[in-house]
Amino acid sequence: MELKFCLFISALLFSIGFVGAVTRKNAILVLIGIELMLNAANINFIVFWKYAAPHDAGGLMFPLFSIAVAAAEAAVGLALIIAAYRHFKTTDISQMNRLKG
Amino acid sequence: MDFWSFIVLGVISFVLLTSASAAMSLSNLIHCALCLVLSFVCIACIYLWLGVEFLGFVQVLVYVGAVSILVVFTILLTRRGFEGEIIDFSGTVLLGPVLILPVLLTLWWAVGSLPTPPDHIKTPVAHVAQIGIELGGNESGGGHYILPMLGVGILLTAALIGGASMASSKRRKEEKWN
Amino acid sequence: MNLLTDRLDLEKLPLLLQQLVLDVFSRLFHFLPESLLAYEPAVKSLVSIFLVIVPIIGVFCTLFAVVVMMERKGLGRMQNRLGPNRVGPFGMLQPAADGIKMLIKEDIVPANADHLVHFLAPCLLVLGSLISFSVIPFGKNLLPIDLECGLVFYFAGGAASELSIFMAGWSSHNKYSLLGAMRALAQLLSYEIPLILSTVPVVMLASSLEPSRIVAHQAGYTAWIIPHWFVCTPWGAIGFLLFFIASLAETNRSPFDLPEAESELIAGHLTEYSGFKYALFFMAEYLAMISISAIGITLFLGGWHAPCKFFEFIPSYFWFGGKLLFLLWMFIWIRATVPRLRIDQLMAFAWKFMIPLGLVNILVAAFWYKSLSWNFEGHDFLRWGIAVAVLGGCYCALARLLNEKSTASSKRTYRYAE
Repeated sequence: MELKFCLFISALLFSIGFVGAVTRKNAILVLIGIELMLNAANINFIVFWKYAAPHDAGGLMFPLFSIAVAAAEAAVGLALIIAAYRHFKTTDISQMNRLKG
Repeated sequence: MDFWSFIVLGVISFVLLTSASAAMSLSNLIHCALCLVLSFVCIACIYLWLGVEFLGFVQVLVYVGAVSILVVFTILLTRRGFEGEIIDFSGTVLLGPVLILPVLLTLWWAVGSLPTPPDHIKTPVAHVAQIGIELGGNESGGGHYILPMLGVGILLTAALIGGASMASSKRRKEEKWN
Repeated sequence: MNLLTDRLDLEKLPLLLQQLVLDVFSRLFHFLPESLLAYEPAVKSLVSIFLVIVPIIGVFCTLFAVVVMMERKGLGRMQNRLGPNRVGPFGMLQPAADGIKMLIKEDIVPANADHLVHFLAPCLLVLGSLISFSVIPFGKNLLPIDLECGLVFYFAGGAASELSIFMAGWSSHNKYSLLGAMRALAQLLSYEIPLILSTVPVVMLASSLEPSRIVAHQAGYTAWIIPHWFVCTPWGAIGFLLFFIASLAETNRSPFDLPEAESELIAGHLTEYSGFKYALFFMAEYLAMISISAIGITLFLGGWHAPCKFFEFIPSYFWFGGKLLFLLWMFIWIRATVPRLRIDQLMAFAWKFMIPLGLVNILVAAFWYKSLSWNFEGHDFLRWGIAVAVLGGCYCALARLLNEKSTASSKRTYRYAE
């Protein structure tokens, strides 16, 4: 029963992150949505590891690596946003629609 | 499962979902970032509730201690005016819920039709020593994740150097183009 | 544990006191009506939690007052003046006077400030500083919570409290506060890496993240007078040096107190705070100082162990307290002696000196661990020789590189008035 409840929660968190990433105009909010989706996937891993496959250490290792890689990805993504802001003078992704540079 | 334990999980999940929705829908960017921090802390509390303390503390250390600060720095470095701007939603506001609704419904159906795990699976205690042995190896085996760890190390170094060089000001290059 | 018949063992005193309080509480509980008796185990665990929280808050807030007093008198004497000497005998009640002043001061919040965030920032900072006390072993039987990953918990608490500095700077709605907060945050993030890098060799050699096991690993003496603390090894000495310097920077203490110095951007991120909120920031900084000294003692200085075999009769918590006061005095001494670093000097020091030295330290510690299994004649000298040579050479090389850059770029050009 706990398994299903936690999986529902992570599914809802994933959908909240997705809706935010797709609907908001600001590039930083898109990144925030992506972080929420990554975290929802991590919760899924841990919940399945704990309740269905505790003998497999991969269920614990994958989220650990996922956290590290997500941090790297957030760093690079935010650096990209700063570089793009310097060029387009805005973080509005609907105005970043020209390839002139 | 214990009734009070379930209440605790319910409260944590409620705060998590509320702060995640707030993070995605508020108009002031800094408030969004602070709600994101609250969401990360709630996720760490869920990890603690599930018994993986190491992962919970790593979540706070990495996400709250580093990613949130990066997000906040970026918000500060990319502001136009001093006041928080009114951030509108994009023109295709309905695209998001329309796309995610089938995914969500499928997930709910899939989760709902999961068989109950057999009772004999004992809920494990995730000893930190076991994590260490899995990662690095022991005289008696383990160490299956040495290559991924090296790979993550190289990736993080590359991300650090790349991010720093991308975000630094490149006035000279722009002058050359002009 | 019968109080009257057992020989009074000072080490077991905290356990005895805890048992006493819980006994008294159980007896009082039985006076309540029958229907509430079912809740006894739950309320008993709540009482034992309070038995952990209340002494920590009581002791460390008192220690905060003592440290403030020590600092003002000590700084005064080192600057050839008396410290505060009006309130109470020798000025001992000065912290009380300061506390009352802070409490009755008007709490001014700027009109355009974000009131919720402005209110939450000092609270979260104090929360982060206080919560990290719960994994430190203060004595043989005085470990509040025995977490398996206690060290990660400590650094997670420290990392979480960094965000409140940004919250303080941003919510004040003041350009200079924001700049000060960003500089403070950059400093904190830069020095967090050497802080954690310097603790990696300790975890490697003790094979555990538990503070109690790290302390237990430092037990024992060579020839009854040389303790087996980690600071008595080459990598431990450099590690402790790195940890101490990084902890000076993490707590915004001189020479790294650019974010909060009075002559820099007014008070940096604390400009718009007055009254009790400012007192909370002040308290959080000193509590962070105390807790980072405490974890430094646990990791490098042998925790609650005595320095010689002869002194083991003195209870463990006295040794811990003594080491803690010594480290806090070092913090104060360095504040009085060393001038402030500029922000670029600070950053260069962190990234170009401390991080490479930390990485070399990890390598040397790994070599030390491997060489523990050597058995041939004179293996001790060889180990020490190689470790000291590598670390010393690296230290000198890095220091020379750092020095060259700064002196090379500051070629003075003089412009005289015509």
